[in-house]
Amino acid sequence: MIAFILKFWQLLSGIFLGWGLGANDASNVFGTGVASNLIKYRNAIILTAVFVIVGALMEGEKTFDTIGKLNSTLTLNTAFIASFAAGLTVFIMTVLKLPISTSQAIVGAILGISIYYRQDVDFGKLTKIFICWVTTPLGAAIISFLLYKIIDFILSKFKYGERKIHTFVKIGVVISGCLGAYSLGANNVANVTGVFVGADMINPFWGTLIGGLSIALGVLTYSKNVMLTVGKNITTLGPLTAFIAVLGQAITVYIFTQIGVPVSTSQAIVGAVAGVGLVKGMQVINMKTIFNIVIGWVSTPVSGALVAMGLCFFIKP
Amino acid sequence: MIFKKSSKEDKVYDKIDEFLDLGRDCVVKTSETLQSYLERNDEYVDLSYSVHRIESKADDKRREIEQLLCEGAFLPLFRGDIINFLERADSILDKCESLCDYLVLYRPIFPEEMFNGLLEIFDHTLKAYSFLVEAYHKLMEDMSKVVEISLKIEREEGKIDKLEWQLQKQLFDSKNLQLAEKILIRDFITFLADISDLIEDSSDKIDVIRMTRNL
Repeated sequence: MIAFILKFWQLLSGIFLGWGLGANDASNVFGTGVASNLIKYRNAIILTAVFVIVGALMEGEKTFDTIGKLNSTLTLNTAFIASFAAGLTVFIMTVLKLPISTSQAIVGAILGISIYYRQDVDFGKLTKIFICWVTTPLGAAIISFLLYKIIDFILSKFKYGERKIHTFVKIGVVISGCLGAYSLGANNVANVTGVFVGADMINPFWGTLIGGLSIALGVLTYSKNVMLTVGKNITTLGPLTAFIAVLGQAITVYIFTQIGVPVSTSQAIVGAVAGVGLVKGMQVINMKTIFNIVIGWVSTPVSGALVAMGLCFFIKP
Repeated sequence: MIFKKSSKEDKVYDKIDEFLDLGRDCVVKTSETLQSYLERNDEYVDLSYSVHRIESKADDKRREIEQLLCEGAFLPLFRGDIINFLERADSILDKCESLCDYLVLYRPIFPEEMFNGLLEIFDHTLKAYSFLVEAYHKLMEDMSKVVEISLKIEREEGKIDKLEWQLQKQLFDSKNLQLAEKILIRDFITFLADISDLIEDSSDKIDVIRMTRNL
């Protein structure tokens, strides 16, 4: 065990990042259900943890290449620095209550290391990543807009009352939550262990397993407060529309997994909420939220890069 | 068990049904009280007491429902709507109780030519209440029909307003009554017509629930 720890201690930074990711992002998955009292917190986190691991194991490898090969000269030590810097950025920005995305933090950290050591970055991948970041909230808005229209059309064909709605929302919250957790695991696991796979420390299977488990650990141990806060904000939409927003977010993140780019689930949910708001003619997203997202596209990777460069300077790996 | 137990919601649905049944009994008994009073039958006092008993039972039922809601039945967003509806529906029973008290305490003397008008108002009130119960059932099973039934309630309420106006006019055109007697009867008629206003308000609450549940 000690030999294992000595050999793989660098992975601890990835586990730290995964833990933070799980603690923060579980709210986008089951926040609505828990805040609405539709599902018990304990059951929600167990389902999230299970589906995050399943998602990571089944499809997590699809995004490894984007993160792991963004800088193909990463060593074990620089991979550790990148992961640790991203974890630290997430932690600092969470403490400062600033919008945060682990995907953006890890990309920023890799860029910081690349700049510090004057290493090449795959600009093709970087452009693809940036396009995906910008299209995440927009895509989520379009998907939830269409979902709303489709579900509205289907519901109009059936007789339904309060009883059926209650059952529909209950089942819908669990299905969209499980799908969201699956997408979260599949899409974001590369943020946690992608750099270690890229540095050939572990193979993709172990990357998805360790990454999935560390996200699950964050979900299980530290997600309650964020889950309740985010969930309450989303439920002001009404239970049916909130369910559509969560489902829209899950589908969007899943699509980006197939494209192979880790994206921000938090920005996806904001986009999805804006999409359903648009159908209802409600301005549910204010300018400050949009400003935060746009700023986040720059400020988070820049922060990640600065923290990584600072760590490189002090630790000299 | 993934879901929270659903039995609380089912209990709430059933208890609201029971509450609305008590409301119907209350309106019917109030109608019988008035009929008996107009026939100068002393039984009206006992009938008015039975209205009190029904109202008290309905209060208990409402408390049971609120207790279940406090224990976590329904989404928090849904609970407020249900409580608002119950509050409004409960005021129908309160008004019936006050109407019976009015008869027992003030014993207004109605001119015979007003009897039919008064009883007709009660017929429409009962119809409006039956539509209210139907609107609640449609809310549970088929929301698309709620608006249609709300319009029926509105129509009944409109008929009552018209009857109320005619009775007030007839009252103050009468040369055989003292002003004090007229005022006593006028207030009674207003009280009577208020019941249908409250039924309409309760139906509006149902309509609000329908709108918030729609996508």
